[in-house]
Amino acid sequence: MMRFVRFSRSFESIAYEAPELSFVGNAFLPSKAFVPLQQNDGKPSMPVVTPGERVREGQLIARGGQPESVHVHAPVPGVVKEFATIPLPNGKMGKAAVIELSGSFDILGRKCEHFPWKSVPESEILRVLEEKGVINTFDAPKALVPDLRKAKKIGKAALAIRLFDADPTCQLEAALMDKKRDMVLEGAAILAAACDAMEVFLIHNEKKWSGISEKSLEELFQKRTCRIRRASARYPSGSEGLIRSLVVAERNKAEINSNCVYVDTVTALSAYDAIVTNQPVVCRTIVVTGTALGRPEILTVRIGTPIGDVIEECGGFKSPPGRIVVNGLLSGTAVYDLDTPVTKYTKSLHIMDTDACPDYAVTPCVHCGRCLQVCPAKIDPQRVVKGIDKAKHTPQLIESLKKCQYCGCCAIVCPSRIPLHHRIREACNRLTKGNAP
Amino acid sequence: MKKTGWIVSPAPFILTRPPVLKMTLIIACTLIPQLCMLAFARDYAALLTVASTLSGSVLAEAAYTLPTKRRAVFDASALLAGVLAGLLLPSGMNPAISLIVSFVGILIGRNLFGGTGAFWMNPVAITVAIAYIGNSALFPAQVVTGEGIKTVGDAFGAFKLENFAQIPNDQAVTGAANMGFLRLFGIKLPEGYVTLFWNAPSAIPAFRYNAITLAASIVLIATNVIDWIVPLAYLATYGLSVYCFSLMPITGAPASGDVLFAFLTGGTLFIAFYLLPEYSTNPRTRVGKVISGILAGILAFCVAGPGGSPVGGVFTVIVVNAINPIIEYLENRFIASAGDFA
Repeated sequence: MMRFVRFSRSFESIAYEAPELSFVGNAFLPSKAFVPLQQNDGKPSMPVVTPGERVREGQLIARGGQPESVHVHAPVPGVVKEFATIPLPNGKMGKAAVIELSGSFDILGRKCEHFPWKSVPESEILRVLEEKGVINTFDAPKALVPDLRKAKKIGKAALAIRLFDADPTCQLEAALMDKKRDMVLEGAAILAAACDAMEVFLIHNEKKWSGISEKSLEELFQKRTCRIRRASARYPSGSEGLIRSLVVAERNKAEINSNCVYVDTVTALSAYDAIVTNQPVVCRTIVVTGTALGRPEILTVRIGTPIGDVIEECGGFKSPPGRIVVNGLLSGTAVYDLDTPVTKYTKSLHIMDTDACPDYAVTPCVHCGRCLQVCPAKIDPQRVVKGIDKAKHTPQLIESLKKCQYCGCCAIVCPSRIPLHHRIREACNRLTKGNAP
Repeated sequence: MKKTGWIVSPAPFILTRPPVLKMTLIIACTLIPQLCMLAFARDYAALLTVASTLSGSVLAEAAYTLPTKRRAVFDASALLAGVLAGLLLPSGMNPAISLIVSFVGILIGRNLFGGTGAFWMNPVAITVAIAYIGNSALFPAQVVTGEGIKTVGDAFGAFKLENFAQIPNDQAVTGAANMGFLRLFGIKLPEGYVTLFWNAPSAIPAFRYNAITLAASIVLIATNVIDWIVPLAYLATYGLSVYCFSLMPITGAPASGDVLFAFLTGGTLFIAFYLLPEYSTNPRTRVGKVISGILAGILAFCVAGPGGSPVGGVFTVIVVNAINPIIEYLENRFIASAGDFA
């Protein structure tokens, strides 16, 4: 089935294949798990096990020593064979613990706990979230607990949870809201309690809120004010900048500070697993789809499982694959190795066939103005890139760099295939580091 | 690790429009039926003109890229410019002259400004303008005159005075249309329009096959190859101007102009869908494009009047292209200040 998503500032639509997806439960366990020591944008965690050592399921194998790094746990029981450098789903290379499956399971197949967290103090919730290695996948993957602590310290905090996919082609968060809505909302309540939020923003993009009733929300979030807000169904309504502006505008209206923690459904579900069922982050629910895939499915996959194994479980390739894209066709990354593992920040896998792969030969700008017409941040991407090329660092250019939301709308419509938003992001990164853009 | 030959590239992996080369090829493909019609009509002279302008265009591209050692960007746009120029020059033009004219026009209009995406005025229009300024006798005369309109009362009637030969099936098709769907709207189409629509009598090949041009425009807009704003604004403004004012200075009757005649003669449709939407020469915002289209419509009315002008459309394109940088300058200022002009 083809789905169409309109751009927020244009009549044009993005068309993508969206087959019916079904939850099939747990995926097969990998015989060899490649567990990256870097599961977020921070520094890699320090391994606490050595090659040849036997590990239990859920055992800590790498400690996040720095505030921005997170703990990593063994997704399967077995023996640590080695620490190898492997390609990661974000396109970088990184160190990973290779665990060969053997031994008995401590979590899988056991009855889930249901911990009554409401009576637990905030500091204890924060400690457990940190211990279980929960990360925030709202935007770029990062450690969750430092943000929660910071928000709590500032006071009058808010928690905003995005209940839909920032990249609509991912389809994961919409599916999680459909099937695991109660767990997601309870996870949000846990996170709100952890940062002592006075307000909780539930941001959805459906025509009408189809979640639980206001009474149930009151019960769940207790003393906190729960605000249900609708974001546009157009792209890119789920980007960090737009959600942030929605929340900040409302808080400014009420003359409250803009102190807010932004999370997504995957993060809320991780918090639920960590606190309620007392499980570290050892698996992820991911969408596996694409035109070259045998059977599109939603699977719960152990972290470290090679994507080749996941594809095989979904019926393998039905036609020669052109690209394998992780985390959505609009904002994801293509991977080139079937041994690339599933990580804490993996949300979806798209197996594209060669016909569906767009032509990427970059040609000079044809001056069509499409990028300007679709940009939700109302900047002029082509002129910004021209300014970067010519090293014209005017105040307007720097302001435009700051306004860019990196949604990629400009690149989606560009017939010259100029990677406009990547160029802008690169320049913005240089600017942040104190260099000339 | 199993290494594969897959391509690693950054997002997005969905794109809404074809790449530049494919866009050029789609435009070129829509011209193939016109070339086939020329072959079918045995107008080999017109095909020879197209071949020579195509050669001139390729030579202009080579003359620019080879000595400057610039990397030639093969987006086929030079080839397309050659074909378009050939179709807009009169059939039977000396092949050597058309080659030289196309070489000079494309070199000046396209290459010296930096090629695709950078040129100021449409190189095809410049080629035709050079040919016209060089020897206007090669071009057919204005087919509709004020005297003719005064005598007959309308533009098409005046056009018919000039040995207008209908196609054999005109009468039958017109009759069927009048008895069929036109009856529902209470419209009665006079004879002759079917000829204008299918094979208008003109020495310039691009002005002849309006039905094919119209069908091509649907393909071009549906495949997102051209922007529909400029042609729509142009046709709407030109049509409205012709309807309201074209007969006023001659017969004194307001709101009685023949819009269909204006659209089906003088290459109005061909220019609207093949020359005016050229991205390089247009403003980039929607508002800018609308203003440019409206301006083109007004200018077309001032230059070509009620229709039937052999080069009025081409000169309209040149004048609008000359003005467009001012519109672009203003839109850039608006974007910088208001940020919401697109």
